[in-house]
Amino acid sequence: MGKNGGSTYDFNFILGLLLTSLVLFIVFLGFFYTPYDPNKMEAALINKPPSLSHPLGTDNFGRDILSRVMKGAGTTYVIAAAIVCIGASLGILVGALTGYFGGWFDEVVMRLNDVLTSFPSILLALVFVSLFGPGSYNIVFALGLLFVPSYARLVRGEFIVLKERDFVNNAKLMGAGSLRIIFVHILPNTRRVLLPSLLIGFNNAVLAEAGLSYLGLGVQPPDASLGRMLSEAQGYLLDSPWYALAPGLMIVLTVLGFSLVSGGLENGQG
Amino acid sequence: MQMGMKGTVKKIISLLMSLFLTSILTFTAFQVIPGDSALIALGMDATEEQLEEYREEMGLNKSLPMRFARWLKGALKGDFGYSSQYQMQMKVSTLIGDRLTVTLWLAALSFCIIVLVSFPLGILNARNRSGTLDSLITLVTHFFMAVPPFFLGMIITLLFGIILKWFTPGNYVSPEEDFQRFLRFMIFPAIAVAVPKIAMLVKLLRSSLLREMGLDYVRTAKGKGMTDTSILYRHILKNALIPVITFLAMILADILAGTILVEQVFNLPGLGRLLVSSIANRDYAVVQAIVLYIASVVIVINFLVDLLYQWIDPRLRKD
Repeated sequence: MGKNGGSTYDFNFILGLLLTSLVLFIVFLGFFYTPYDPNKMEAALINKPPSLSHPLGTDNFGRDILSRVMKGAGTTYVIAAAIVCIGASLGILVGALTGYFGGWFDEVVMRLNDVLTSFPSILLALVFVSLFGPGSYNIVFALGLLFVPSYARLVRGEFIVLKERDFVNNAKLMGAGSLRIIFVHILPNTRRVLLPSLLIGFNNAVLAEAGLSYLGLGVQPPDASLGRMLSEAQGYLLDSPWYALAPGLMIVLTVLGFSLVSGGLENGQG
Repeated sequence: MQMGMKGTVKKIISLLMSLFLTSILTFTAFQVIPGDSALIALGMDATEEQLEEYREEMGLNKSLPMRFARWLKGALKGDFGYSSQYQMQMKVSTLIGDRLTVTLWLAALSFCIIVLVSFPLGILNARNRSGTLDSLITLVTHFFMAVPPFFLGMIITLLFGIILKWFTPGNYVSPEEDFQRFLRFMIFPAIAVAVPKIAMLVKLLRSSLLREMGLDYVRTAKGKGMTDTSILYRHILKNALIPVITFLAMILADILAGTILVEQVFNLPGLGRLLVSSIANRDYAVVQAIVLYIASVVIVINFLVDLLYQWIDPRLRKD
C-alpha cells in the first residue's frame, strides 16, 4: 500500500500494456493478413501438431489454427467492442439523466436495475438467445442491453456526487442549460472511473461471447471466434490438445492484459 | 428488538414482491415468441378440431393475465407442464428434478472448495504486508480471473483426465450408483468453477483484513496487551467478514451460472445442459422453468444474506 505499493504496481501495469499491445497487434494484423486462408480445409493436414509451416498446428478439417486464431480473435473483439459500445452509451445516458435529475424517474429505473442485476447475466443472455435465436447480431444486442445497468449505476453514482460541486454551480450561474452541464461539464469528469470500467466491460464481453459461442449459441460456423474454436476443439482434446490451447490462451492473454491495464488506471497510473 | 421485527417483515414483503416480479418477467418474456404454440406442439398435420381442443386444454384462448395465473398456480405446485423436446411426453418437473441434484452438488462442492481454500490463504497473506506480495497477488488474481471456467475445465480434463489419468473424462457416475466415485468425478468440475472465485476472494479478504488492522480499536487492543493472533481471530476477522459475506452471496449466482458452462465441458447431466439443449430445441416450457428456478434461488439467497448481516453486525439492526 501507499508509496511502496505504487512503485510495484508499475510492473503489473507495464505487463498489462505489453500484453494488450501484443494481442491487439495480432488481431489488427489478422484483419489484413493471415498466413493461410482461415476457412480453407486441407484433407492431408488434419490434426497435425505444431510445426514450422503451421506454428500452432492444424484442426480437425486441416485448417491452419494460427490463421483461425487471428481471424477468430478479430471476430470476438469486434463483437465485444460492439457490446461495450451499446452498453456504455445507453448506460451513460441513463445514469447521467437519473443521477442528475433524480426524482421518480430515478426511482423507477433503479428498481428495474435491481431486478435485472439479480439475474446471473449469462442466464439473461440465454433467455434472449432462446427468444430471438442464436447468431452474432443477436448476442451483440442481448449482451449490449445486459451491460446497461452496470454502467448506469456507475455513472449515476458519479453524477450524484459531482452535481453538488462548485464548478457545476458556477456553470449554472453563468446560465448553462441542464444538457450542457450534464454532457460538457460533468461527463468528462467521470472518465477516471469510466475508463477502467470500459476495459473491464470489454473483458466481460470477450468472456461472454466465448461462453455463448462455446455453447453453440453465438457465432455460427464456419466463421471462427475464440469461443466457437474452443467448442470445436473440445472433441479433439485427446488427439490434438494444441487445438484448444491456442484460442484458450488467446482469451486468457487478452483478459489478463486488459484487466492489468484497468487495474493500473484505477490506481492512478497512465 | 421491535424495530428489528418490523425490518424483517418489510424484507419478507420485498422478497415476495421480487419473486412475483421475476415470475411475471419470466412468463411474459416468452409470450413474444412468434408462432402458434398449439401448432408447434401438435405438428403441421393436426386438424383444426385437435388444435382447438389443445388450446382449450392448455388455456391458450384465455387472456394473458389468466394464462399467467394458471402458469403461476402450476409453478407454485412444481408443475410446469410438459416438455416438447423428447419423443415421450415428459413432465418438466421430473426432467428438472433429475438434473437438479447434479447441479446442486456441483455448486455446493465448488462453494466448499472456495471457502476452504480462500480463508487460510487470505489470512496468511494479510499477516505479511509488503508491496511486492501485494503486486504478486494482484497479478495472480488477475491471471486466474482471466481464465474462463470452461477453458479451465478443458485444461483440467487434459491434465488430470488424459495425461495423469486421475479420472476418466466423460465417465460420469450418478450418486445413486456409487457415491464415492460420483464425488471423485465431481471434484474436478467443482475446481474449474471454483478457481477464478478463489483468486477474487483471497484478494478481497486480504484487503479487507488489512483495512481493519489499521483501525483504532486494533491499536487499543494491542495497548491492552493482546497478542496479534488473538486480535486477528477475536476482533478483526469478525469485522472483516462483512464485505466477504456480500461477496460470497454474489458469487453464488456466479457459481450457478458457471455450472451451466462447466457441465457442458464435463458432460454432466445437470440443469445447465438441460437448459442449453432446451434452448437449442425450442423447448420453452423447460427454459421458463429453469430460468424461474435459478432466479428465485438467487433472490432467496440474497434475502437470507440480508438477514445474516443483521445478525452479524448489530449496527445494521437500527433501520
